[in-house]
Amino acid sequence: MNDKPLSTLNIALLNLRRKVFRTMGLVLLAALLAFTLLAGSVLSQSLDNGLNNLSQRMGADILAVPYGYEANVQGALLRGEPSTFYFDELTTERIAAVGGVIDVSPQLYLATLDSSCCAYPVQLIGFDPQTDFAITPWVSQTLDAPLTAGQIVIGSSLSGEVGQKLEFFNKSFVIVARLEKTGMGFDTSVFMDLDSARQLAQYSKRAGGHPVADNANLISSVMVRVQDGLNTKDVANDILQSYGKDGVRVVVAEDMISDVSSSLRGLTGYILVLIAILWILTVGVLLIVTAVTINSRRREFSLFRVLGATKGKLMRLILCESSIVSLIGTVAGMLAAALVVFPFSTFISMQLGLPYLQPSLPVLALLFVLCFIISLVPACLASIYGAVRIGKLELSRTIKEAE
Amino acid sequence: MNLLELKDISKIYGNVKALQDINLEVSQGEWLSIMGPSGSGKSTMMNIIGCMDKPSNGSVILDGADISKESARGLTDIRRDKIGLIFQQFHLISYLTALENVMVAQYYHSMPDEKEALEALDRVGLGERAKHLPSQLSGGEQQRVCIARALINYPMLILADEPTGNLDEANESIVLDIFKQMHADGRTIIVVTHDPEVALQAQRTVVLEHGKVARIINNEQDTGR
Repeated sequence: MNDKPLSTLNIALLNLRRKVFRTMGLVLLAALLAFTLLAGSVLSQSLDNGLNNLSQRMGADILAVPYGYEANVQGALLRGEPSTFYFDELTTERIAAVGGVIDVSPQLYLATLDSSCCAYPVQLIGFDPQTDFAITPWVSQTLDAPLTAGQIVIGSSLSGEVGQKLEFFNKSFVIVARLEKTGMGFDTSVFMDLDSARQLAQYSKRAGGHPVADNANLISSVMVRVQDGLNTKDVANDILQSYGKDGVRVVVAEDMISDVSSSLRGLTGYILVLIAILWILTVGVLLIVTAVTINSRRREFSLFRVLGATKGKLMRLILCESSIVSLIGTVAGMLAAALVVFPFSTFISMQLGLPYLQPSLPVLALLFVLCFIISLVPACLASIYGAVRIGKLELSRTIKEAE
Repeated sequence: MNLLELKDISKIYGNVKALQDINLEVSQGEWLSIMGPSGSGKSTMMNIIGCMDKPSNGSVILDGADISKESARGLTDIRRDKIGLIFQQFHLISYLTALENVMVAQYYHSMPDEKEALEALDRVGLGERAKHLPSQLSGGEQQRVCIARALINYPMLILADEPTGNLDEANESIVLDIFKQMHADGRTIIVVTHDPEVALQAQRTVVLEHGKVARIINNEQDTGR
């Protein structure tokens, strides 16, 4: 017996509690819908944010890289995939001399298999603090002075606090700043000045050899900024025509964004279609379940009517049952989505291989509210449908059918 | 004083005349049984008296008021306030305990009162089984819960459709004893039955044939009660 006084809510709860399997099935369905809605929305919004911030955060209009490594630099920038490729640092000066180029800054990529900060390989990027325009603007704390030997800036997804020391190839570095979240490969990269990166290559030589250890004049890429008003692709072509024969290739940021954008459109399209299918499926299943339930409970509802329940009271009973099931399912689904999407955002971002930047708190709150409301709509539709069906019950016939 | 009057009642389903020009008076405190073969119109008559259906023609006067033109909502109110229904198949709610099954009638009538519901179950000898689900009760026990539920709101009229139809002899006897007690308490009872022994317990028996009253038997005169 239930200790609470009998009420519509209590009757609904008793029914749901004593029909465990049916209730669990409906709760799971509601949870699946809420999970997909919230996880899909956050995912899609994060990818959208990632794309919107990509061009702004990349800083450079053109990236010059060695022949054959155009895809690698995209992997390093977008996904933080550790890559190593090199050409002569003279390339920096040569590109600076090309018409329309206003800023150039070299970067040197080293890869580490492990480090004290991370459970996965990390991209180490050496940059020139004097000429850099791509990294420094996104350092969240103001640096009092340009980076010096033994100092590093870490990506937002890496563990470690300012002042803490990290070791790479047994060489200790002090974290002096952290980058803001970029949604790009920068989030899982470690930044240091060029000289430190070259020195590190010497240490890595002991661990297995490194080309930079043998040739201190190597760099991996040149970040290029083009004068406002000029066509970036024309400037890129000029660079290619001038130094292509020397093994220099160019990646135009605009094209890279366009590639990402089309991948993103495909993925978000799939997510939206999945959400739409699941929502329609949930509405359909709930309507069918409601129809079957009402059919199997015709005698029960007719009996309530015989005992004096008005149609309104029966509607409230059905609404109550649907709402309880939907609420429990929705909250459980949203909780599960939050537990998957937020703690594993870095993993998801790496798996997707696309820029991924989680929405701000107010946007997330809005997404939660919207998903909550949309998840509850199928239950409301099912209740309305149920109420219409109940309104059509003929008491005498239904009671007699059960005799 | 008459509690119930049926005046020229007919019920027509398409081309089928289920009831034809039925006239009947039931006085306050009377125990009446309705007998007849299958298809004679017993259930139709019970549905009309029990406010679960409306007559095609004629009028039903219950407690001085014509209820034959009432809306569905009006009939629900009358059924809730004035009539206690007992069914052959008991019709208990499977997921509610015996006590909750009685209390649900209180809830839809006015206000659930657990103490009063327990007393009602006690009166039919089921105080100890109050917390059991219908599936944990025997047929006789389920029928007694159904009776306790029908009586809980103090209805003017008890309407029972084959109340002993699904019971063994021992349980039939228990249920009939409860009916006798209800009658002794001054309740007005109408029992629809196939069983002549059950019908004989009433003061009068109305025999229906082909939707018409074939005869009315005064059991008290016949049995010398």
